[in-house]
Amino acid sequence: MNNTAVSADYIKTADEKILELKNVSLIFNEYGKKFAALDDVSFYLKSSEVLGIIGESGSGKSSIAKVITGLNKPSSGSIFYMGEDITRLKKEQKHRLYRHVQMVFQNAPASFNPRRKIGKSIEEIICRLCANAQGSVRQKAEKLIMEVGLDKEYLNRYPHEISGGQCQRAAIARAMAVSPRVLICDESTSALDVSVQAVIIDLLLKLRREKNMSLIFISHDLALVSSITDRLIIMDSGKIVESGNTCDVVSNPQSQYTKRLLDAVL
Amino acid sequence: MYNNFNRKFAKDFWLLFAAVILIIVLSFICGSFTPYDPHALKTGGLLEPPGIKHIFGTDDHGRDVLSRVLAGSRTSILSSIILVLLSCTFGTALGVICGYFGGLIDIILMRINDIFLAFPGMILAVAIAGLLGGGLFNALIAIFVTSWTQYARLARSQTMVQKEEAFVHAAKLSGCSDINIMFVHILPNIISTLIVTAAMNVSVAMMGIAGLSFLGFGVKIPHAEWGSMISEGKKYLQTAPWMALAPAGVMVFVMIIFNLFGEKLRDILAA
Repeated sequence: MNNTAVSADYIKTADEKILELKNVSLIFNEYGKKFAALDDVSFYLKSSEVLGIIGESGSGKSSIAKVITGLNKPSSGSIFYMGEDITRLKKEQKHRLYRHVQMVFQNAPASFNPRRKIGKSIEEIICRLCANAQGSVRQKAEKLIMEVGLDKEYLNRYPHEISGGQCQRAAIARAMAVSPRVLICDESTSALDVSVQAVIIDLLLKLRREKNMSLIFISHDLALVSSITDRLIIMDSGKIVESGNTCDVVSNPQSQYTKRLLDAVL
Repeated sequence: MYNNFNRKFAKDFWLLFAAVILIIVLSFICGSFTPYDPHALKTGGLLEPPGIKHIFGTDDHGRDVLSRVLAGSRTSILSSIILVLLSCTFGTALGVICGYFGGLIDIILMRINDIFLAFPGMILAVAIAGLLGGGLFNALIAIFVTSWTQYARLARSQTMVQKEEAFVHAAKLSGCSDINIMFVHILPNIISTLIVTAAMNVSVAMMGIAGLSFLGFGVKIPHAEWGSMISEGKKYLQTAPWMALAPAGVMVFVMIIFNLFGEKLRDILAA
């Protein structure tokens, strides 16, 4: 991945593939036994699209998020971001990728260093990844936290001093610090109660509209994901069993697994 | 009731903390302000029992045992603390690096660690001190070589747990370097366990230095050090037991204070 590809400011059309996975496999070797967390996974994400990834626990949903963000290296296959291969990036190249691809974790309180105040964690990403941050770092952190509907006073709190929903908002604020082109939400609402879930979803969709970013929404909640996504990918045992427009997948499921999932919801 | 318990808990901790600080300060100051010259040999007043003039009595060279105990406190206590600080810092840094990076660097460093752990600590320290020769510095090196291993093991295992935490992944996505993640994000979250271990190990280090001096591998006479004083006094255990019992008693007292402080610190950090 070169500098120009990722840092370039050119506008892509709505149909442009911003992210693409080609035959990606992730194999873990545990005590001599091989276990495929991802098995020949291929899909793409278009610019400004909301893509849902659905599956049971252990189906490989989070592994996808980890291979895209470079937290896990795929055993085989390739990942492309805006046409550039990002499969095996060096550290400094990864940092450039993180200016464009960010992630919101499932357990928001655990995604903040328990020994650090929320503000410090948000300021850290601004300092390290936002080269042209206007105003002071603190001011930018205050602006971000207020954008997600929290008072700036929350910057002075530790993760354990705020609720799960507030922590999730703060995690979104941190991810939004770099104004990413792609935001991966890895079961970001599964630990929250239904009312807070709706608030967080609304916030994510609002930010997506305002910032014109693409969203990968990973969840096991088919009802929730199908209501907000443009396309759906259904995963089982590390494989994609079905993919397509959300309406098509929900109204006319092809695989038995998807049918079972839908039956469980309806 | 819970608050009363917490208050008592905190009060005990601060009392022990004050005692530890007092011991450290006294050992530093008293080494220079002893009632008598701890090294001056005399022809009269040999093996005088404890009394008003000499609270801990005198030794076989007529030296005031209290003065020598006070002079020895600086060597024994400060060198133990320095030793623990060095071995904790070195072992922790190595353990964090091994735990974080894993792979070949972890395999090599941990096998070296295993080699040191395979030998009984004191035996290895005696062997190293024997090779290097006598003296406090060499004794410290000998004990350092055997004591960093436990901190490395502990730091490694704690780092391996912490590096899988979501906040470490989030730090990576925030653009933090490996050094920053290891020592700014992970270390503060594992340091409490290491501090408790270090606090408990001050007494172990004190015993190690005294042990080497007792065996003749540490501080050489006539320099005052509790282990060498006990060694000198063992010849007179039946006729002048104060020569050995005074430094031994003070050493046991100091070790108990440090151990109690370590335990209380563990309780406080675990609460």
